[in-house]
Amino acid sequence: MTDPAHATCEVEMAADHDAMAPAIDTIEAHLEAVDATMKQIYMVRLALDELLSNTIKYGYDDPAGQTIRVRVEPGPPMTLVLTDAARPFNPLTDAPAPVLEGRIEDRPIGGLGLHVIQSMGMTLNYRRDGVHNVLCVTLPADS
Amino acid sequence: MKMEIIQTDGSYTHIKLTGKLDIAAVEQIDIKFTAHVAAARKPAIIDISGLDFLSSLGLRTILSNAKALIAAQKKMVLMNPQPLVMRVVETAGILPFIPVAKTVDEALTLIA
Repeated sequence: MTDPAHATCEVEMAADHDAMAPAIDTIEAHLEAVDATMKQIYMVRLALDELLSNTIKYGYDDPAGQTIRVRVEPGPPMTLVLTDAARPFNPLTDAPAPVLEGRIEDRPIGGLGLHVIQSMGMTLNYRRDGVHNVLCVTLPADS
Repeated sequence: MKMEIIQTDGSYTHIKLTGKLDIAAVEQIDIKFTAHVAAARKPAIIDISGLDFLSSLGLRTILSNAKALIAAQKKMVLMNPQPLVMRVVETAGILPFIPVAKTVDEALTLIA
């Protein structure tokens, strides 16, 4: 087991889809090294795949030169902190609600990601800090 | 991410996905998957037993293909998801439209 004092992991990545996999793999390797559970590793991947891709796709007029910082705090509870200088976006209030009722043919494909993250028991907290979005994702205590 | 075509001729499509279906994998397989599933307009069995990660973006690929099949009066069945993958599928509220089977025989009954 890694000394908990050194168990926080921070990765700064380019705001580019191609930078996602190396960043997520680095974080996963860290989580494995500190004996995170399979469920924690799954949830971290799930949250990062959705949240990073949303920020990169919708957050910038031009993402060139922009970076996103991801910090993983082991907790408990384990927490992810995503910091970016994208346009202000509070996923709790600004994201479209998913359509989960009615005929599947009539449902839009999008909007599921945040719903899935929250349904898996993760809690989101957002704040705007100057020019930065700061999004905290707290994993459930039993993960 | 590996996409294995078990069967595309005959009366149904059978595909096996192995690995991690995340945004990078979606970019890798989306066109091929859609060509063999939605465009084939045949009932589809998608074996996801070897999928150890499914993100909501991966789920969108499965869902958009299922929608196309349903619009053509055909069905898609998912086979043998691992527990955490199953949980993602459940939370998306799609099980009434895309059922889950444990065996090929059960899947064939569900797509009939």
